[in-house]
Amino acid sequence: MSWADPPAAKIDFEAWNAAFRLVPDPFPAPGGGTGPRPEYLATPRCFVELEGDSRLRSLRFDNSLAALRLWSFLLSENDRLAAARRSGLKIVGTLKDLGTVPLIAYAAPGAVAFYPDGAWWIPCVMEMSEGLLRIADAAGFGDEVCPVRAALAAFLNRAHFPIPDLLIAAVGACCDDMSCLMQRLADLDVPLLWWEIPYRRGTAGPEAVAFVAGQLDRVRRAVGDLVGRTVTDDMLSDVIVRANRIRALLRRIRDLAYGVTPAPFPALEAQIVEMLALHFCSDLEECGRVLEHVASTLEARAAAGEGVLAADACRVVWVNPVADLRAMNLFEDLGGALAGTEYLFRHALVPIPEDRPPLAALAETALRDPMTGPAEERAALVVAEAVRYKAEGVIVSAVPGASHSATEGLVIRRRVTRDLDIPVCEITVPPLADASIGQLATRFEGFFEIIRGRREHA
Amino acid sequence: MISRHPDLRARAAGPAARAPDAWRAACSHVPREIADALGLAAARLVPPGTVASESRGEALSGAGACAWCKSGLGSDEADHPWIGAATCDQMRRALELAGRASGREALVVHAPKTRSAEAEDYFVAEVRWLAAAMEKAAGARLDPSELRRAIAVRNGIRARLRRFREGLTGADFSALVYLEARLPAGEMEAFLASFRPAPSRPTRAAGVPALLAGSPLAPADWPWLDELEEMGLPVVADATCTGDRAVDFAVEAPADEDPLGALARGYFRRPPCPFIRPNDEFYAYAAALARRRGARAVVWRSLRGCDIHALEPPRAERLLGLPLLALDMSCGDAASPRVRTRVEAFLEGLR
Ligand code: SF4
Ligand code: SF4
Repeated sequence: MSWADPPAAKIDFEAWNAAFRLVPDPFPAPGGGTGPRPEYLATPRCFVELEGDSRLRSLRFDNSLAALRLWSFLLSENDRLAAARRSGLKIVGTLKDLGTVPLIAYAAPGAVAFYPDGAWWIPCVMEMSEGLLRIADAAGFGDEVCPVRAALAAFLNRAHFPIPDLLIAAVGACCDDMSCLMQRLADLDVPLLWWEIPYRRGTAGPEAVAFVAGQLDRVRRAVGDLVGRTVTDDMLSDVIVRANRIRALLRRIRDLAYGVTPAPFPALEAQIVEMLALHFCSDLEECGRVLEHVASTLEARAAAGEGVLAADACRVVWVNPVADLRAMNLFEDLGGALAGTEYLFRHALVPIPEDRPPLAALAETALRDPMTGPAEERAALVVAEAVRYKAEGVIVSAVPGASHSATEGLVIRRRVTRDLDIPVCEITVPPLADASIGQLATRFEGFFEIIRGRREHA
Repeated sequence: MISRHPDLRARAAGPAARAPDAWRAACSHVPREIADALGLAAARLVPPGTVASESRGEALSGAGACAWCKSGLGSDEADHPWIGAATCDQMRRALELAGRASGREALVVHAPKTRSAEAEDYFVAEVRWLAAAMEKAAGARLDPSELRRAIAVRNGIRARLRRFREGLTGADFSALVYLEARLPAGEMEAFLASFRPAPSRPTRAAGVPALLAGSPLAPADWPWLDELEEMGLPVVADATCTGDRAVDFAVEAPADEDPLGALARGYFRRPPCPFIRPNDEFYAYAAALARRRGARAVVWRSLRGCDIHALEPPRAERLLGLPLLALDMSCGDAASPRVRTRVEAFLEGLR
């Protein structure tokens, strides 16, 4: 059978939920032909009713089959982790490094990895019904801490993800929020290994690379002990090649999503795509297939000149992930389009060198984490992104409570203004932004007016 | 009756070398022995801890920055080039901002968070980098024998400070620690040669002897420590980095070891800050200090915007095994009725 996506558009929750019932079986394979329907799409289900993900009701979604698959893949991760545990795989919970340690876990036969930090979004997705922020408050992590505090609560109430067999915690040049949260987790009854990634003054030198490679070697040995097998260099090299394929796909998708007008993919789905770089949503191979599907969908749309947003939308680089996903919808509804992002894990998107010992390659890549270097360098990444995708403005979405957000906005604003002379708008979006949606809308409208005004005078 | 040393306090909070090439060390992680040996001025930067300095610093950083960093950035001395360590996230970002403000990039070393032998070696490499950068600034080579001498002198100064501790109030001792951090080694030695403190308090403090921990103290906080003492909560032990912990160590530099490496190792091994991971070693130090000094309560004070200290009290209470008063304060809060009421209620509960 052949499948044709409807013309590109954004749809509301009802239409999106109904679309699950239309998922074809057999399933169209990218590049033609068909294959088995992915298991996570096999049983139509409502994530709102079954999982309590009630925020989905307020969102608008891309109407392609690829996007439906992407969402399903994302939202069904707990099923995969539970199945992994049932089948005897070891679960590694990796904290803060964003993109490096999971590769070591995937290289090990018999382990899967996920980021408990991802609980960041649970209060939003479940519209606070799960009470995680209340639990975090009671544990002393109030709203002076970034939304990642939900992860501490999820460990305390043990209701949101399987408790890992091993936690691997990256400290060093890390936000204070995670550093403190990880210290709390170390008090729990879960084995935890600390490793360190240092602050770098500029590009990491050989000493830093050697130090981090040594730290990652400890991680490798700990994961090997967990699964009862040595994780060899060959295993690591193999996983690096596989991860690089995913990273290449991500770059292809980013170029399409952020570089093509009209935008062929909405901001929300583009953000999910980028997040898959971190740990592949617990299934590296299927992650590749999901992204391939997205990429071919966007290529078809770009070739046909189809988009989900108006061609004259204001092109903006977005800095930092946003705690309430609805903010991304609002941004587009009011006339914005993403023209680049900097979500704090750029190092998970760049190719990992394949021509050197794998631990050194992983160390070098981990040291490109924008969190480990000067804020000025991160600001330069924002500028580069704006140039690459011809952005007309930058939105810095400060993460409420985050130690880096306290001062970073200022540095980014100065750099962008100095290098590009385009406007910068700083906002703060709480985990559930309903109460501030009017204020946020006013900020977006005002910002887009400035951008349009500059177009007229250009 | 508590006696004070106003002269000591005035000198400790007073101006340090103002020559334009004088450095400011933003953190006790920086081995100032290197500056001593090179003949460079590198007084510790004193965030005044005043509302005005915090507001000035906020304009240069952001509303969410910690009060300590804001006050440092807003101090009169912020225009000097800074030397510091990437301790917490806030501090390393403040160091970057300080470089912008002064027009001269701060020299920043990584302060390791883990306590492994590899982390220690890494710190040694970082200190070597710092020494090279300071040599460049001084236009001179670091002479190993000069460095050895500087290490011995600072060791001697710290040892004398420790001996004075028992006879001084918490505030006076903090002032003495500040003075050590502000003065070049020679001037500090000269000061100590004539320093004869009248016993400021009875050997056994009246009230409930307390361990102070949390964010560093600023000179503006000294009157608050006096007030604690007057209310019946004398600070007999101070685990902040502006109290006992700052001087409770000696650098061992055996003749057969390169003094720069030994210096870095000495600083790495000193009683650590709570930002290390895991931070058990900090608590082991603080608990032993509390025991040694007979502390029966803990005052844990965190400055607004500081996660590193503000998120610790539940653990601190458990690990130190003493009743704990957690205070979240901003610059200027020391004199606030809110804080006074909290202290009174805490003392009430202890009686
Ligand atoms: S959003 Fe920022 S503060 Fe929060 S966990 Fe991520 S890096 Fe840390
Ligand atoms: S430890 Fe706390 S008070 Fe000290 S610089 Fe860091 S955030 Fe500020």
